[in-house]
Amino acid sequence: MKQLLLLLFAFDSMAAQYFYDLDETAELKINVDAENASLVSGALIGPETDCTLHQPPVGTTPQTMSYEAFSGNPFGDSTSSSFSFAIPINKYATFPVTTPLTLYLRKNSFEQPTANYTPASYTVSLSKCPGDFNVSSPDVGRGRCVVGGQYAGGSTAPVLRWTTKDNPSPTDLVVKCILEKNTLYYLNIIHSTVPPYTDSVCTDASGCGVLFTELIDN
Amino acid sequence: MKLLTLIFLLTPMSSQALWTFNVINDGSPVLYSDLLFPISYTHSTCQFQAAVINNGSADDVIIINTAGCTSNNHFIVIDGYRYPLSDTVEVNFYSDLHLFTETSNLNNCTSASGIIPTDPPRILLNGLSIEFKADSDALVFTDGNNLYFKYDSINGDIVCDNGVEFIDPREIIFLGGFE
Repeated sequence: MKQLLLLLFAFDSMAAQYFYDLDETAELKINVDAENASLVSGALIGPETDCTLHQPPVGTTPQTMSYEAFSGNPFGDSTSSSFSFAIPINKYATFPVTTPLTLYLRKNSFEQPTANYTPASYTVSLSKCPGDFNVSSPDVGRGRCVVGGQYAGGSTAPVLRWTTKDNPSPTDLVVKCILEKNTLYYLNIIHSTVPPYTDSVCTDASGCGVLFTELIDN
Repeated sequence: MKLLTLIFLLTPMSSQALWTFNVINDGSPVLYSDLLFPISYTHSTCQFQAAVINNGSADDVIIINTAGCTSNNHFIVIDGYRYPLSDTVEVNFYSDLHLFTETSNLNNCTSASGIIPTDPPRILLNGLSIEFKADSDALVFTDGNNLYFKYDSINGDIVCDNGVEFIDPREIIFLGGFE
């Protein structure tokens, strides 16, 4: 009976999401006799973020990826690194990343991928919500947190600049994405160029490529 | 739906216990809720997910394994021996069953006490059932980029062909401290 009541609650209200990081200090313990599961962490990174109003494009599904596994460094730690990967049609890549504890100025450029991948334009965002390409309110990201990625054959490589400045200037707010320190964000990438980003511009059934570069900014 | 909910609120509850789910940060509980099984883990998303009841509403707790999305870095540890899990592994934790989908290449397993108990609570992995200790914590933790699911079987004496002796990295610190 109690389970049924709980299910009714489940359908009767919008679920909030709480995000936590299973970092090197964390343990998930499951004890049958005590009928208890516990996440014990010394580095909780996920303050509550309500992503119900910041959903991924309709019809898309996530391809969750590890930034550190591809870059070889935690987000923001590298001042010169790049890597390529593919995203299937109607998927978006999302990298959960934790912002640094101190002041960082970085820029991520997105260029034509290596010859191993089919190129296609894309859109990139930094948001507290996975798959959020609108970043339309300060609770998920401030400043310029969405950019168009490389246009296949184009001559320019749009750049997503970000900073963890506590007091960004008016110019910073126009040209950079302002991130809170030690906070969970998602680096989101999708092969679509026009809001609401439901139409893929990738025509290769095996997916299209992305070349990601992280550089120091000023 | 709200009326129906109210009717159930006024109905006496059964005495069946629910599991609780705690999040403890720096020694302080920050979330304490009823748990709706299963807790699930999917390698493809590198996330644990559990539904909990928090102040009367259903919420999702999502635990992100930021360090562990690469292949060949997920392991199950049973009685001090480590076995690799495939990069398509999915795990569902129920109250007395921890169900691993996809395969783990344990090969033949033996128990020093002669048989491998299979009663609940148990792990079920690639057709192999192993009863684990109910009074100890089944643990999930990371070490570098590796993710471990660590168990003690009921008799603590299971070894399989492909086992590699596992030294818990968290215990190495204490060993060093006493030397």
